[in-house]
Amino acid sequence: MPLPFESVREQLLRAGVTPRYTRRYVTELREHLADLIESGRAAGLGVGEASGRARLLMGKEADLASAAIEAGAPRSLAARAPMVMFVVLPLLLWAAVLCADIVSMMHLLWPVRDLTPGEMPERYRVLVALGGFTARYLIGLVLCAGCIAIAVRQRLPSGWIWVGLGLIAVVTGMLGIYPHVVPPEAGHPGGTLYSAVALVYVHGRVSLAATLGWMALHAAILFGLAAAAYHALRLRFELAP
Amino acid sequence: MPRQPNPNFMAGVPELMILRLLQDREMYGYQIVQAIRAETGDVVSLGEGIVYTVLHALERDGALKPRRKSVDGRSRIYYSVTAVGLRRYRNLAQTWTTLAGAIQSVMKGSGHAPAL
Repeated sequence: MPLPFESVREQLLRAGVTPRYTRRYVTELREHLADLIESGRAAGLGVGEASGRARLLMGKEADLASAAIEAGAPRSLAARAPMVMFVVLPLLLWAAVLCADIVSMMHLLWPVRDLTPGEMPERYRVLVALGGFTARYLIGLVLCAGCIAIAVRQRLPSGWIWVGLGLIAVVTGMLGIYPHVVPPEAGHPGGTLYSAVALVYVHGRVSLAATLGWMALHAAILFGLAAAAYHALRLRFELAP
Repeated sequence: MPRQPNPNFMAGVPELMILRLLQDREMYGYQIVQAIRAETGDVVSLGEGIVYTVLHALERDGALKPRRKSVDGRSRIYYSVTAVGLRRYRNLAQTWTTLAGAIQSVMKGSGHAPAL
């Protein structure tokens, strides 16, 4: 049996009201209902009769939801400006986290800048792997998960969310932190060069087709994972297209 | 039987009563509804569920301040009046008193009422 005022929660969320306000309103209604039932019981009514009377006194759930919406319940940023929430903010956040990742990697790897990953002590190899994993996979996955969580929690229509997930996947597929081994040459000791783009080498030279293919595959895998998770949650919460 | 809602001309009255009652002590929604019923001898009955939309609107306007408190294992939100709420109450009370006097004058048929 659903908890009382579940339909109020759904109506408010689908109207774009903030989850925080919705939770508070529903909690207060439930507390009020419990008080009314308690007072009915204290007046000698049975449990069923006290509950029924309390529900009548509270009014229809649809009316309670409409009253809150008409009284100006606060609407969330995601409902008011979905493009900002699901496209602009994730991309800005993505850029900020990538920059922070690059700066911290430069700082931490400075002592071993002239070594290839194979020559580095173990702890630096772990750092290179962690920094690369964060930039190539983790930022994108976390941002997609965040967008999906907000969209589902607030029962939002999906248009801008698909756009946002697509863009996060594309950007994550294109950019990251990639170490390249530079062999020693005359006048240069060699070491590791880091690029923000995954450069795929074929026969010792960067191949544009292979690089673009790798980016597309990377983006498609991330988008596929995000889309599957989002689609499953949309079905679970019966969200409108 | 559910209580009948108050007619349309009661618009603004719940706000006035809430601001008055909360000047004496902080209360949560259920207490406010019961207090209004008790103080008015059941003449004014605020919808049990609707009280929260009025409380939240007053809170958004800065007239009320909420405070979460745990009482007997239950989490309650108590409301109290702010300085803004006090000013709002004085304005509302004055308007209402003038209006009530004007209506009384009309009903008694005794001359002109003061302008609002």
